[in-house]
Formats: sequence, structure tokens, C-alpha cells
Amino acid sequence: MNNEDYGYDYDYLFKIVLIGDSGVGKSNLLSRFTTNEFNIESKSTIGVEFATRTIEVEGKKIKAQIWDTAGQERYRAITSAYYRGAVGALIVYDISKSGTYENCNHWLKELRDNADDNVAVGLIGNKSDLAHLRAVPTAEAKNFASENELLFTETSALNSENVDQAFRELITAIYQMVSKHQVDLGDSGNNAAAAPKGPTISLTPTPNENKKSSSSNCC
Amino acid sequence: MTDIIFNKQLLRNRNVLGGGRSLEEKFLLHYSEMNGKGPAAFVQKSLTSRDLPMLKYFAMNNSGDMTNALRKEVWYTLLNAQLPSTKMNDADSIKPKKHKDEDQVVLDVNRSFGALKNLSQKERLRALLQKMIIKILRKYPQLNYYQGYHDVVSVFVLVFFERLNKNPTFHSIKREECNLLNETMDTDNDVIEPGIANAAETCGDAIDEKDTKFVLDETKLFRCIESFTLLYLRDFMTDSLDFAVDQLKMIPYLIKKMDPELYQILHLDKIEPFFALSDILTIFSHNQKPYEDIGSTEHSIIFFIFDLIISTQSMYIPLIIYANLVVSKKATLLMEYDLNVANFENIPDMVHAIIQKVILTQTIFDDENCWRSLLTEAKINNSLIDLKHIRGMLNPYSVLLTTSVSHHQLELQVYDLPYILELFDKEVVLNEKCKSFSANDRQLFYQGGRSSYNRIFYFFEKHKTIFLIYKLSLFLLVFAITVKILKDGHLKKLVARTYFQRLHHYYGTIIDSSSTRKRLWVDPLSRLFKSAKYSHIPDIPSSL
Ligand SMILES: Nc1nc2c(ncn2[C@@H]2O[C@H](COP(=O)(O)OP(=O)(O)O)[C@@H](O)[C@H]2O)c(=O)[nH]1
Ligand SMILES: [Mg+2]
Repeated sequence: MNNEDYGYDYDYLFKIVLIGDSGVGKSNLLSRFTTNEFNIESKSTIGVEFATRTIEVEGKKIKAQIWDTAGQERYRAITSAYYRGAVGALIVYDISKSGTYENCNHWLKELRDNADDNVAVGLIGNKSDLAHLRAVPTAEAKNFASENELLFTETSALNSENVDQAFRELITAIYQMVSKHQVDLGDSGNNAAAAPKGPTISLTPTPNENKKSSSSNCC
Repeated sequence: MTDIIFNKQLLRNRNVLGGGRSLEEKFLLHYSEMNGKGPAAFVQKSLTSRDLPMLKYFAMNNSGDMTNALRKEVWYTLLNAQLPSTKMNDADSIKPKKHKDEDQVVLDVNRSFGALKNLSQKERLRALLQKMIIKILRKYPQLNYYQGYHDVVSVFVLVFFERLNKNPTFHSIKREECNLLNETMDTDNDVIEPGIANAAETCGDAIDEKDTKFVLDETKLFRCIESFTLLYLRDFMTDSLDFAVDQLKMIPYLIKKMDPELYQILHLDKIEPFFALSDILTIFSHNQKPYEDIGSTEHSIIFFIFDLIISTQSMYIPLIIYANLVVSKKATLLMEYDLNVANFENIPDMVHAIIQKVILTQTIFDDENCWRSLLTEAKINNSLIDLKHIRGMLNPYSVLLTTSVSHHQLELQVYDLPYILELFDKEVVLNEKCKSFSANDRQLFYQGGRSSYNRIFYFFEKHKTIFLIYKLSLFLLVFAITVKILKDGHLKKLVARTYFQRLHHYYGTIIDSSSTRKRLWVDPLSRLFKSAKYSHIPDIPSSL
């Protein structure tokens, strides 16, 4: 967790959830994206943690607040409570373990059941560096992704291949949806179905106050 | 230095431990006798004499000079006494069958002890950790592994490791051997008298018995984990985490009691306390790692927390610590709240984030004084636990209601394995029943269960004398009927004959007389019961 997690220096705040089986590399994808770190023996995630990174898309500062979850089945009831208000989700599997890919269907359903309807979803096949152990063909996953209207990328948190790109793609997709939605709202004013339920602050541009969060670890 | 701390705490504990004055005095006496020789001699004396209350007292009031070499003996003696090993408990009852969660165990073990720099030490710790967890799961296949259990077990592994570390036998353990459990499992260790074994172990400078010592240690380690798991962690190990969530709900309950304002501001009445999940499931061991390098770790706060749980026999401790932690950081939390209110998509996210941030990133975990006062408060604050209320929040077989001491006492509570396993079985059944319930529905269910079962039971208990009178009168009735039957030959004659005859006469008349039928059928019985008119019944028809 860094100070940026709590800052206000952004135009948009997007809540994104990272889901998928245990051990597929969610936490390392997150640390690679937010702090460019990879730890071969990072602690397993218990419950839910989050980290943020602000990137620029089409001239707007977008703060991605990414919630990382425990993968073990018994945590699902708890982690799914955190899907609320998410505008994006990444479902991660391990290309060297077919079981983790097969479970993606399950994760997708979990998401559809618990998240807002218009959540943008990306499918990520992680550990692409383990090509010699590949168990899930790229074409098959790509197919699954297009059938379900998901973005798709193969990444490696280990050698950072495609990691930034995968997150960027998702964030851009969300941004386009949001800006289109705002235009639509201006046009017809009744495209409420595309908006997240309730007045979510995440989709409202915040004034670009350069107010620094207090996270000056005092005391 | 030690003495000062003890004296201060003794004053405070006097009330808590009510009636234990003599033990305190004994303790001080023993301790000052031993002073100069250090706590090792003191603990050693209590270990050899198996003075459990004294050990318990020592662990509860440990001022920080307990080495891990001592600690493991104290933990073992206390935990072994709390859940004594039985025949059923022997190694031969261990199923060699693979447990469904073993793959997950391996995933988590491989991500354990990451902060350790010594690679071979890390490998050996992991091997031991994996072996212990798998041994527990195979021995009790009804338990479900949860991510975070490995953090708890690694605390035990670290405490016991030092000794093993010096032992060359340990080097020969390879990770693959974990799969050959039945071979590495030693069955004849429990034969050794604990008292003698302890003495031999701690005095142990005998060099030629390294092999036995190693085996003995691992057996002790396993017994500690086994006892701790079954007594204190089983709520987390049914098929879901529902009962863990029930336990988490104690945190807002405690915060409300300590600081209702903070409770309101943080919306704790409305949100699920999931933010505390990892700290409670792992008893702070996930975020509070004790090691930089093994050897300098004995004063790590995490060990004190475990000392306290094991000696007070209370899983209320982590919950009270957590609630105290939140309340003690009120000012910072309020500030964070104001600053971050628009930084999150919803209130639960924000509360989760600020509480976790304050607890994780404030230097609190390095701040020994802060932790000391938290631990002391956890010991004393047990007046916060109002069992009457808590019963409606937890399932009746919960660790907190069955194998946790809510108000400290000197006596060591002893449980037997079949009882614990039965409690767990019942918890599993209940968990299945409540599966589709939300946390709130579950609480209603527990409360409902209370009203239908307990209330009736309670009523019976309270009004025993009244029920005695009822019973007596019932008995008299039965007696009278029996006598009557014996006398008259059959039951029919019990009821007044004349009454039946008159009734028959009455109905007979109604049927005859169609004109009066309606009126009379309206409520014939009311007339019958009017005793004054009763005698006139036969007269009715004739009067028409
Ligand atoms: N080879 C390889 N290993 C990875 C990669 N990402 C993660 N890992 C490893 O996979 C294991 C699980 O990673 P983690 O991020 O904790 O997974 P999570 O349970 O999904 O959060 C760790 O040992 C990582 O080192 C990757 O891209 N390539
Ligand atoms: Mg993780």
C-alpha cells in the first residue's frame, strides 16, 4: 500500500476486481502493474487487499483501484461482496494449469451474479513465460473470450510481458464506455441501463484537487 | 526488570483472577527464589513438577524473557494438558489417504517464509510446515484447510524449529517425504512420560541422544498444532467460512461497547466486518511475521499473542485485541475517514481500506509498548464479554461458546477428543443447514433456536417444583383410574351412568320432535353444562 492509494489527484476512479483460482498469479500481476515488482514467493492473499495506480487515458488521469482477492473456493462468499461497484474485472488463469482455465466459467458466473451488469471483463492467461508447460491453447481461450465478449491477453507477471497492456486495455474499455455513456445521457437522457446502479462516485469526474491524502504515516 | 512488570500485573490481575491470591503469592515466592537463575529455572521447576496453574500463570504474564526453547516446552505442556492424547489420538489412526485440500496446502506452503534470507533454512521450514499441515488433514479428514491456516501453523513451526535446526537428523528430511507420511510418522513417542521427557529435553546437553530428541520434538510440535487446531481453530474449518464470519461479528459488537461513537461513524452497524478476516483467521500471523532471521525472533509480538491464547485458553483474545486496536486508533481513523470519503466506490470499501491501512501501516506492529498494553487490556477486558448476548450471535458449538474461557480462571480447562470431534460434527451439520443464509439470517436462526429449545428447557428447569405438582396430580389420576377399572371391570362405568342415559334420552327426543330440532341443535352442550338446567333436560320435550 502506498500513499497514492489514498490520493485525490485523478479525473476518474475505476474500481476493478482481480479474480481467479489460487496461485494463478493475481497478486503478482497486481504488484507488477502498480509497483513493477515481482516476488516469486509473495504471501498468499487472505481475504481481500487492494492497490492503485493512476494512468493516463486519452488525456484523462484515471486512478485504477484494484481489489485483489483470495482464490480458494471457501473465500468466494466473502470476496464476491467486494464486486459491488466494480466497473471492471480481470479473470486470471494459469496457462500451465488447465484446471484454472476450466474454472473461468465459474468465475464469470460468479461475477455476473454479484457484480453490476455493465462491468467490463478481461480474461488473462498468466505465466506465458512457462511456454514449455503450456496446457491451455491460446486459440481456445481466445474463442472462449470472444464468445463471452471478454477482452483477452496472455501475460507474464514474471517477465512483465503484456501486463501493462492488459490493464490498460481494460481501463480504456471502461473509459470509453463511461464517456460514451455520458454522451448518451446528454443525448437521450434515459440510457440508465448502461450506468452502474446508484450514484457511484467512481464514474463522476472529481475536481482535480491536488489535495494529498494524509497518509503521511504519522504517529 | 521482570519483577517490576510482574508486580504491576499482579495488582491488576488480582481482580481478574479472583480467589487466586495464594497462587500469586506462591508465584512471586517461587519466582524470587529462582531469581538470578532466570525464568528458565523457574519454568523448568514448574515443568518438572507439572505445576500447570503456575505455567499458565507464567505464560499469561510473560514479560518477554521467555526464549523459544522454553516457550515450546510451556506450549506443549499446556496444550497437551488441555486436550490429552488418547488411544484414538494415536498415530495409527492416521489415514494415509490424500486430503482434498493438499494441493492448496502446497500452493500456500511454497509462498511461506518468504522473508527468510537463509535458503536452506527456508526449505527446511517449508518441509516441516507442509508435513505438519498434511499430517493434521490426513488425521482429521473432516477438517477443511483454509488459506491462512498455514500462517498459524508456521508460528508453531518457528517456535519448535530452533532446536531441530541444531540437529543433523533434520537435514535429511526432504520435501518428497511428506507424501510418505506413514513412514516418517513415529508411533511410539507418546509412551514417554511427558514430565520426564520435558526435563530431559530442556536440560538436554546429552549429545548422544540426538535422534530421539529430534523425534520427540516433532511429536511435540504435532501435538501442539493438533490441540491448538481442534480447540481453537475448528470454527474456521467447516465447509464454509460462515462460522468465521460469525466470529468476526464480535468485533463490531466489542467496538460498540467500547466506543459507540466510533461504531456509528464507521457504519459498523451496516457493514460486514470482513476487513478483519485475515488478522482473525491467522491470529495476526499473516501480517505480523516474526522473522528477519531465526534466533532473534523470540520477542516478536506474535509469540506473545499465542502465549496469551494458549495460557488463557481463550479465542476471545484476538477479537478483543482487534477491537482494542481499532478503538485505540480512533483519531487516525476519523482523519482518514474524512480524507478518503470520496476515494472509494462505497462505504464498506472505504471502511475496509482505512481500517486495514491504519492497522497495517501504522508502526503499531513495531511498537512494543502499544502491543503490551493491548495484550494487557485483552487479559483484563474480558468483562466486555456478555455471554447472554453473545449466545445469540454464535452457533452453540462454536469455539467461543464451548472451548474458550470467557472469564479468566486459574484452573486449566481439560477437554477430551471425542467431545471435541462431536462438537465439530455438529458444527458441520449446522453449517450445512445454514448454507444459504446470510450472516444476519444465521443470527436470527441461532436466536430462534434459543427460543424454541432453550426457553422451554429453561422454563422446565426454573419451575421444577410446579412440574412436580403436575406430575403428582397426573400420577393420582392414573392411580384413581386404575383402581376404578379394577373395581368395576371396565372403563365405561367410570363416567356417570345416569348422565349418559339422560343424554341418550335427550337426543332421542330431538330426533322425534322435528319442530324443535333447529333450536335445540344450536348449542345442546351449553345446556348440558348448565348444571341447574341439567336436571330438567328430560323435561324439555314434554313441555312442548
Ligand atoms: N512463472 C511464472 N510464475 C508466476 C507468474 N505469476 C505468478 N507466478 C508464481 O505463481 C505463484 C502464485 O502467485 P500469486 O501472485 O501469489 O498468485 P495468486 O494466488 O493468484 O495471487 C507464485 O509463486 C508466483 O511466483 C508468472 O507470470 N510466471
Ligand atoms: Mg494472491
